[in-house]
Amino acid sequence: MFSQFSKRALGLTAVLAVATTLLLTACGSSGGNSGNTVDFSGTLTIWHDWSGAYLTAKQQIVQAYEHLHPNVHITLVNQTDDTKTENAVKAGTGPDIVQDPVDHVGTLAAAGVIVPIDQYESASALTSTYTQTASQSVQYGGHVYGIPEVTEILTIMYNKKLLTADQLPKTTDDMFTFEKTYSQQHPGSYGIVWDVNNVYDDAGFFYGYGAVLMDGNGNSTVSSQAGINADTYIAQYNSVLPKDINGQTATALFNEGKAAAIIDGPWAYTGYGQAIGADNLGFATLPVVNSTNTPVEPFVGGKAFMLTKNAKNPALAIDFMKFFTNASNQATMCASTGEIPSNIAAGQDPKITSNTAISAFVQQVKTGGVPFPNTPYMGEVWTPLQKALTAVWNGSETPQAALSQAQTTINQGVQQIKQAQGG
Amino acid sequence: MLRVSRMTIAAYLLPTFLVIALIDLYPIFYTFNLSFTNKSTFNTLDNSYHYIGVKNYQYVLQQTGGDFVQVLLITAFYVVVCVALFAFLGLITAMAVNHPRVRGKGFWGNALILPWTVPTFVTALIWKFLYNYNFGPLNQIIRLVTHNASAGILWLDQPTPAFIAVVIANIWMSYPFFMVISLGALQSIPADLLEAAQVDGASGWQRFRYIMLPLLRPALLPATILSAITTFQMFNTVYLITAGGPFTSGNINNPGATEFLMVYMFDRIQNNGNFFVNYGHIATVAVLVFIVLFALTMMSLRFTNLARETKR
Repeated sequence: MFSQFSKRALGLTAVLAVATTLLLTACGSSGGNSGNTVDFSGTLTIWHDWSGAYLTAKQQIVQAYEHLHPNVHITLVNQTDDTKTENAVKAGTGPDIVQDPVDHVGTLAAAGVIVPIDQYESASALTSTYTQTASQSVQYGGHVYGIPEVTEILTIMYNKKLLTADQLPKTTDDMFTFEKTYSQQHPGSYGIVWDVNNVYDDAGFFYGYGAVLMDGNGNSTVSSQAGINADTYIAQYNSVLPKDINGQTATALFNEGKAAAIIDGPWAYTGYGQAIGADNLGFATLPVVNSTNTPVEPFVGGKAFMLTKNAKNPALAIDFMKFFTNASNQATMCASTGEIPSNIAAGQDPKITSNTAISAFVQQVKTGGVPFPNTPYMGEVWTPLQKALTAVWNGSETPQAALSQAQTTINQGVQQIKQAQGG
Repeated sequence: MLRVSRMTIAAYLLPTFLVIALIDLYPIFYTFNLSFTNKSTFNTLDNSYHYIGVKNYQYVLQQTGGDFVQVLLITAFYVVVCVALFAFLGLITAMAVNHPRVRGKGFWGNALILPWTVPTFVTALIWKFLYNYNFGPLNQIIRLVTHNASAGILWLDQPTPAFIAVVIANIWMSYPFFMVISLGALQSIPADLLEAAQVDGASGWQRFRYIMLPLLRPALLPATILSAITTFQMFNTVYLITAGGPFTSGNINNPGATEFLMVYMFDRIQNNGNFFVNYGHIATVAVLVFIVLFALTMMSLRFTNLARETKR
């Protein structure tokens, strides 16, 4: 009896052991290639938007991968025109991987240029490796379409020689008062500058006031009372900022010390560091909107790797994407480029946590930010809203009139896309 | 007499015909064909687009209805103003350089043609800087003269100044063309003609009106028409300075004060910078613009022929 029991126990243990081993193996490989064996040979072509110092940092990872798999050759091509990508994919000469801003995901997916990668990386696996916003940004229509590379967000950067941290405004009302008093105290200089008529730069204010530029179903509330309040708030800066301010002017003012602070993103901070001295560059989160008690919420966007329809060796392409964005590679790369890592573990790496710039951008993501819409409908928002912002800034139209016209155009554009999609 | 068979002639011409057909005719017919389909980003890859009749034309003319006509009108106005001004300026400078008492004709001729030789995008960007509200030299001069630190013209953010700004920039880079043409024509007028008139007691104005101008006409008329066509199709200068703005309305179909035909078309083609492109609509706009330009070219050809006949 005893022996029988022990035999059974032994058998059970054996079964359990086998099952556990199988499970472990499955788990282990799901991080890599979902159980399929990857053919580590051939050429991977990547179309990307890296240049300058960025490119050098990224090339190192590419070389490390080639070193790891000597039979794999990776070709990097700087090519960012999505229309070209579509035509190349159609002709069968396109890249295996496109590295693109995440707001292109929806359009590329709807056009069929990129294909779902759920079989290689499930949504849950994605969320366990990459940050919430980064994971969300590569999902469209219930499918995973890419592996997030880096995250980007706008925040306030200031010149420590001109300001101390406690002088920075905490609310939007403070911000306007600060802008006025700073210009009065320093004639010819400005407080906080930014590209005021740029939709991307102003989106944070719209969301902070409670307006939604575009949701996944094609609904936009730019002309709501919230939107009107946001635009009214932005337009009042016309009396204190240079009247023809744009991105270039803002950058020039900040670089020359004629502006105490600027609203800009990770791509720009190295340049500012060079102009005013990296040690003089301070960071602060965007203010809270008084009327809604919600922070100004800029877009949390970024870049991602996507698998194109004509990828010859999808398993290899995915393996490369995961290698590129693994914790150690991301930590090293981002420490050098100043981008925010999309990988959770990389974000906790000392190389990243000790970097003031990246910590500041991460802080902004935590304080306030909305996922950058990756639906094709978002594309219909840019021009009408930018024209409305400009018309209101120049005093040609009231926010009510300008925004309601923009709204009409946006809705027409969404309708046009829905028709084109056959919906 | 050399005898060549028709077949030989055809064989020699064939390569040229093929190239023309491939490079010129095929894209034209392709675009025309495209304007009757619903091809867009979403159905390019699987070729699932199909013919939708004249729907695109309905859409473009209704949606953009008023603004296509409005764009044509402001473009025409821009052409008239620019061409009139640079014909006038070119003629004046040419006559000044050609004046018998002016020394160093070669130097002046070369110095004045300089703006024409600079790549237009460079000139455009320089002018854009000159017009800058806060830091532009033009406003700095205004502030210096008026002793008012807050004076200055918002050159590029108000409709009328922006229009004037692109006119000035265009004149700056185009009048040398007229000067060169006028100078050449002026130098071909025999000096004894003018002398004889002077001896007969003709005043300076009379010599200009009855001798110079009729002799300049055959050269100036085609130059005017050519300039009108290039100005009509002007893109880079205007786009780089104002990008078609300033926009005075949130209504996308309300064109900017300097949104001339080519800038307008470029914006439509780009579908405002979107990756989503409706090729059918673009082709439709292209066909419509082609019709307008074709009509204008035909008209100008008639004028040129008239000019030739006058010369005879």
